[in-house]
Amino acid sequence: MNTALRLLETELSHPSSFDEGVEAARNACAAGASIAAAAIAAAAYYDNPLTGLGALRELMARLRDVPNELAPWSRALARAPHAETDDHFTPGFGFVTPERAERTLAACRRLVELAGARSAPRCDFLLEHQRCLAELAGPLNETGLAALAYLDAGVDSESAERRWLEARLSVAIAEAQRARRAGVAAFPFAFGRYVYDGPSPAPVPLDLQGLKRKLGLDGLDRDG
Amino acid sequence: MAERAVLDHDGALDRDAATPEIRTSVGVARLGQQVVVHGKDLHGECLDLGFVHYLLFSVTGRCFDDAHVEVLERLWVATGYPDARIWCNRVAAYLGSARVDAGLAMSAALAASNSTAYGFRAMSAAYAVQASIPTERDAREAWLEAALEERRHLAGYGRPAQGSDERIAAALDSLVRAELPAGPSLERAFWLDRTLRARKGIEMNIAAVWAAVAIDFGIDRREYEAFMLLMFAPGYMAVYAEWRRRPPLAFLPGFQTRLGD
Repeated sequence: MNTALRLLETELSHPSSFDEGVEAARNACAAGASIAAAAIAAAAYYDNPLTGLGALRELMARLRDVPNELAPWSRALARAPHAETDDHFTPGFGFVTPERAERTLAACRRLVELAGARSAPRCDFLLEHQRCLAELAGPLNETGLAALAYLDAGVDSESAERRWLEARLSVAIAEAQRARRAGVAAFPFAFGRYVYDGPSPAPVPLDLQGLKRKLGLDGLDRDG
Repeated sequence: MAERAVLDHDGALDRDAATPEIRTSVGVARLGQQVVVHGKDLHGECLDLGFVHYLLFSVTGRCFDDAHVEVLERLWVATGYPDARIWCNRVAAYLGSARVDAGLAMSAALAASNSTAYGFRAMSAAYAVQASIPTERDAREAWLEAALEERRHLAGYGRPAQGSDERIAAALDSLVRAELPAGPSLERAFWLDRTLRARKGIEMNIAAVWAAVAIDFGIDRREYEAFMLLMFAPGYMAVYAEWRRRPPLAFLPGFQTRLGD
């Protein structure tokens, strides 16, 4: 395997890269479901158009034939409303905290150092112009980094989707197994604050003891 | 002559048969003409069943009377909880928040509900418990003694969340409204509830009631497993829809459960 891709997949499996897809997989297994449930939950999560397969595919398509010059990159990375979600973003950019964006850039740097600028031209170009591109598209996120790395490594779009999803699922499933071992007690129903700000009707009381009596389930008349 | 491919238990393929065949008595969709389900014309005879009854009919091949269907439908409605803290609903919330398609979100929430501490596997285990409770009082007490001695988990009793199960009163109310008596399985379920409360301080949860009601209604375990699958769907989809409407990735952003090793 290409060393840059190996590094990318190591970065994707690092705990600092854990995201809501990992948390969804943990929740899927917390109460004892099979890891198949984690795989389904994580695969569904990573099908998302914002930071998932949709963004990976879209960014690869946008940059595949774009020369490493600022004007064409700027045109390719213009934010636009997503056709299906109405959210306004550039795939592979944004939806990331400043700390995480910094870690992603650091990973990009390591990748260029490892592979060499000639073998990772898009990653290198992104680093060189990251301030300008971040103003335009937002900070590079991990999916964006993956798209650049796959393009640099000459990986076709379908293979990239497969490799990226496999890398994500592997991490999510392993975390789901840890969650299952920890058990549902590690995922309490009441965690953090839960603020319900809708209307609250008066509860309609049901008399459980009375209902049991009506149905003969109170154990007083017959217990056979 | 049509040939059929049959793979036996040892993996030997019957090479007499190359043409695949599906032989079924469940139904047929003659597209553009007619759809038949368990011998009934779907569009002519089934539309008045209502969705829950139609699902039950599809699974079992049997029609149930209105009172039984009313109870089952109310059991379903009574457990559609739109609270994003419930584990399967959290999954749906994450997926709505990330703009995942509703079909995949539903699949994921269903898969998450296939759990042992709650959800479908717990419900199936509760059915097995209810089905195994002996009818005769002496045999029943011996059965319970053995279960307690072996420290067997009695699914349907105890609850992963705190408090009594509020759905039990709603379920009993549904029986009363439908003017149905408690069947023998439900009576045994409550006998076990009383006994476990007295001896262990453990209360029944709704899975015991659902299973007992299903047994009393003549629904077998495999039918029960297939029929009950969509009962939590209103909860998943309420949560999904809310977080799908909210700003992207707004559900518990960056939150990671801390797990000890």
